Amino acid sequence: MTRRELVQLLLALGMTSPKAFAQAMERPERLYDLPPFGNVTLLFNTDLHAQLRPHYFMEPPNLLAARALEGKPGYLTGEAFLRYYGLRRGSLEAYAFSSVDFAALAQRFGPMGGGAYIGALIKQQKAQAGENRTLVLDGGDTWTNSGISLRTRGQVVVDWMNRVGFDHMVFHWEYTLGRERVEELVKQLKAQVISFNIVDDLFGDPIYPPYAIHQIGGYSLGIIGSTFPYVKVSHPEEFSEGLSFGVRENELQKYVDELRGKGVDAVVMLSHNGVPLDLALAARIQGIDLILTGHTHDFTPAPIRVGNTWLVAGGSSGKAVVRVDLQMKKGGIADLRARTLPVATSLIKPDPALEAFIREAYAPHLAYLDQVLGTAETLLYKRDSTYSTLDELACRAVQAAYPEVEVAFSTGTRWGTAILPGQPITMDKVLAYTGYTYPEVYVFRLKGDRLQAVLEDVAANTFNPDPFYQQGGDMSRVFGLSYDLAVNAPTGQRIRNVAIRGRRLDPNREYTLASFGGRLQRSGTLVEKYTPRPIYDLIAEYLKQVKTVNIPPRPSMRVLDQRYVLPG
Amino acid sequence: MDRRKFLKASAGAVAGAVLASQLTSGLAQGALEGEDLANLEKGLQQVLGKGFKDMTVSQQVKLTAPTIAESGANVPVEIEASLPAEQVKAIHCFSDKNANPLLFTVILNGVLPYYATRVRVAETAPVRAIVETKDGKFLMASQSVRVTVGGCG
Repeated sequence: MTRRELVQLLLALGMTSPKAFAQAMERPERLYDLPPFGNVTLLFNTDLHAQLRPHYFMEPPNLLAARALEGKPGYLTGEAFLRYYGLRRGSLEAYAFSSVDFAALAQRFGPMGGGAYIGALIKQQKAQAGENRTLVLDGGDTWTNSGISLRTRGQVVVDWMNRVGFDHMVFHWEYTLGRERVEELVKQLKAQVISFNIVDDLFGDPIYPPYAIHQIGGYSLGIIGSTFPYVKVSHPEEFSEGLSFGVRENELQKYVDELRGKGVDAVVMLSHNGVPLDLALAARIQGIDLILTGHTHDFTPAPIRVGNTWLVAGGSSGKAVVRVDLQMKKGGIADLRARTLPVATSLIKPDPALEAFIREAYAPHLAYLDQVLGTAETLLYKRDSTYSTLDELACRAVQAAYPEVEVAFSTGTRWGTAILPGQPITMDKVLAYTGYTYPEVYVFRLKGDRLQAVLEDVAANTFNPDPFYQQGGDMSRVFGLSYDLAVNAPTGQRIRNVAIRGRRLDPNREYTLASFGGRLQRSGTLVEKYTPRPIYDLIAEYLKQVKTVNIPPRPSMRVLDQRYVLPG
Repeated sequence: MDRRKFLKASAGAVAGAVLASQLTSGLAQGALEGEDLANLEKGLQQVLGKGFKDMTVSQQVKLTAPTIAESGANVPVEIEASLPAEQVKAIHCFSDKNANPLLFTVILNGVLPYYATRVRVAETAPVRAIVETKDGKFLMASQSVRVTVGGCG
């Protein structure tokens, strides 16, 4: 981008004052120079979803929430997010942490993340803070959901982690590699897995150490690990056979008390519960000083305080590394400085060793991953409460493969990527949002009333005003079906005016549906003539057919009681 | 966002605001998710010879159960009464939407009033822990357990 283009962009963004110009033009890499603070440093990365290459990722334009949660961290998007955290429109942070002006800022700041850049930033920050006072933590959702992860069953990501030097991690999507593979990789992993809530199904004993204690800078720090509570509900059960998870509030309190009993000065929870649930837990559990949380992909450019507990979230997709510096005192944290550092590839020099490692790791797979399948004419994005253009692309592909399908479902997973207008769509990009270890598309039949009940069930998981009843994920995306959504209505009344192919839903009629990456198909009867095929293969075939993809955002649902914003 | 999109979005927001006020007024405040008192009543009458109105919500009963079950067929529940053992006759457990709402009854015969087991919850509904005292009181704690189709990571 030339200086002239930048000036035009800034004008377009309404930045006309000399001061705003000066601020935007100043060197954003100063962000990474942090003066010393406190005596313990935690570096936190989470929800990488195995994106070892830099990529684009647009934050959700909408995070619909029940009124009790609206406008709170975990549900802030767009301009409201910028206002809440006092971020300037057009800044690197605005680009990294919100969807505002995404396509324009993507041109300016370029792709984000990637293993060589994340690693370089972690190493730089570690050196800056001091090796001996720094712990590097991973919040989970790290090993799976990309092309390279699928091709190596998570191996490359574990090798990358070992080269970067992580100290601890917790899990979620890792288990979709299957328990056996997870345990194989854990043996190779140099970081120690900690989780109080991965327990033996029969006896309830933790499989991994629930916590670790570190002596740093004359203080004792306890770190409790909390893995995603709903691994079993969210994925096929066979992946986690013999294990049980759960929020396990009482046990968490017990372990916090145990750590306090051992005389630690502060208790940190490394968590994959997500911001809403951890905020709720923080209000109920006594004795946690700091929660570092993943799962919901939220960024918290300023730390959140609940009672005596701090909470900082780590975002996703490799877009940021969080640095938290703790000023310790006997029995607690006296003060804290938290910085969410964007992994901007235009500002960070990649680590040469990691870059070479990643290049070599990809080399055998380039012919497959980098094949160009088509071109995007419009912005293709994934993350939103209810709808995205990448999901519509998936649904169109399903429909093209199975013309009798009346309604195609795509998943409300939070991970994915973004493809800018004009960019090629490669297999790697397709896998960046469909890289499931259980990618099969099922065609099944379901009666209208059951279909409505399924939608209600997913809505109840997504929009429940009580975080303890939110299972995780965004609303399933639907194609061929339109509905009105009342976010604040009680369970059973959120989904209204359902129409299929423009005709009102008949509760007694059987419909032909298709879904992948979930368990929806279990509610109905499988259409047996089709052998389930991977969603990414269907998308690849479709792209080769149509060559260009033009999907302006046109959600098939209408939100009745909240503002719904279209990106762009 | 261009002007047309902006106007459309704001029109939607206004319509949303109007509807929102209607929705909130229609919201059944405080009801537990999946509550089905009619079905529960049948079970209570059949097992205890009492109705829902005879149950006393009590802090002395502590019910521990997951808010979202990993499997509806296998839901761990733990019930504890902070009462002297000799005052407690039995612990009953119900779920509103099970075809037979009774999950179990345990006669205590003077042992500590604590019981933990696994139960089957047919669909999202409250689980009711009811502690029957020797002087004929029924103390209750309730918590909704979600049994979800799930699978939308």
